[in-house]
Amino acid sequence: MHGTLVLNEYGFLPVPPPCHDVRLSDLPGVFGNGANRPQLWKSVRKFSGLLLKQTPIRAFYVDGDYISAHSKPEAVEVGIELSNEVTVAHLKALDQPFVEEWGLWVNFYAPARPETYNFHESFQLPDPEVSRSGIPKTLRKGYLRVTL
Amino acid sequence: MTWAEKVRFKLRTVHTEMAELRRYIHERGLPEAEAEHLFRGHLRSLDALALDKLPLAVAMDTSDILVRYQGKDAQTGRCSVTKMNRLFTTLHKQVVEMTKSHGQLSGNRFRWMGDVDLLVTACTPSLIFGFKLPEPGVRARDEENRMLLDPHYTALKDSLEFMGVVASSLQQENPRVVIDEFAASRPNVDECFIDSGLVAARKLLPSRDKKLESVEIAGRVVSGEGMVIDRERWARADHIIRANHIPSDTLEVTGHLMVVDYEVGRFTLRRLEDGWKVRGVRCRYREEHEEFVRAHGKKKIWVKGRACFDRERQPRFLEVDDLRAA
Repeated sequence: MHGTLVLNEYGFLPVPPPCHDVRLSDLPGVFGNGANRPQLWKSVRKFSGLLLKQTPIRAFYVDGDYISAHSKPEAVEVGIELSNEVTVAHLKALDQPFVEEWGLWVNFYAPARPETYNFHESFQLPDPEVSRSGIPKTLRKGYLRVTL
Repeated sequence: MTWAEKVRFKLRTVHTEMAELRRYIHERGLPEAEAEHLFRGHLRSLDALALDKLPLAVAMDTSDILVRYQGKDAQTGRCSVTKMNRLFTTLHKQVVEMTKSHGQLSGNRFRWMGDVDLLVTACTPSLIFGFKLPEPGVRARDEENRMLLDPHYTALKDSLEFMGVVASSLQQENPRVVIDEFAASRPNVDECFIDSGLVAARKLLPSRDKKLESVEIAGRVVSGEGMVIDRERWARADHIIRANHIPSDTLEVTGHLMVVDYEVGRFTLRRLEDGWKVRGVRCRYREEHEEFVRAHGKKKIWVKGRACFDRERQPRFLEVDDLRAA
């Protein structure tokens, strides 16, 4: 795995920094074990291709079980921060069956960030999982910003 | 921040981010009907947070023990009442058996009653069960004393904690090392209690139900992260309960053959004669004894075997060598 992307003892990306900047070409690809991970990684590559070809978007965020030690991540959770360069035509090109066919949960975010309740803060909070009952309540986790 | 607070934070975040996104789309002149796909992810997040994660978070915040089954049935979130009832009953029965085998209750004429019972914190079709301990029944000024004064509470709490220890031990090649280390620091964790803990861990994952792949044990009284008992660990538990520590002292005792568990070859000898103070002795019998055991349920029998005793020299666990009607 990439030097800065070693998961900590709780199976998350370490904090600080909360946001780990990494180029797509430097990504290790498949994080951890799990039968569906190679397929999910393929979807991430396909998604990157879509962004490059049809939009001016050159970065996206990755959060969730895919970048944790979770043994069976259901999907890759992707966040797109839209910019003023993005046109209506670009937005329409992003109408794809991401969940149904790609295995991606894509969330779109406006360029302006709400002050307290924003995705940067939210990404740092682990999701409840029975297996996580024992982790410290104050634990925060890291997430990725992938540039193309 | 509790788990529920984390989920609430996430829910609020989805709402505020959706509001910003709506404003952005409006500014760009895209009709909302054509921007529906941009909200799909947020709406999915809202569903997942509200329907799945918030109930689980509440259960994690309030459960002393959480049991989650994994497998086909759990994944689909469809569970028949029959199956739910069977899992729930097994879980309840094993907790009761462990509690009853706790050293502190060995001399008590103890009956499982509502006021010593566990309280349910979660029970979902995706097969997550959560329980919390009741308040100690004895009233005292400080909480620690109340717990110490209430043997039922202590036995129940120790049982849940030990269930986690057993699950943790099964992750290792040699579980007895972990169990013995734990037992060395706990006077009430003797061979009888260990045996019931191992049987409980084995029984939590039904042997014949292939739609259940594993069971995970976690919660406030379970130290460390969630412990998974899959088929491999199940086999490990099964192996140990058939070959765990054989006591060396011999014992002959007469009593009534009760609480038979044919699956693991255990029964309890109750209403002991000859002035023993304990309420019963947990017995492990061999296959060659099964016919006799089947024919003598609730009857008075004489048993000879090797036993381990508590500090007051009362028998606790007996490996049956011979038995006959009395």
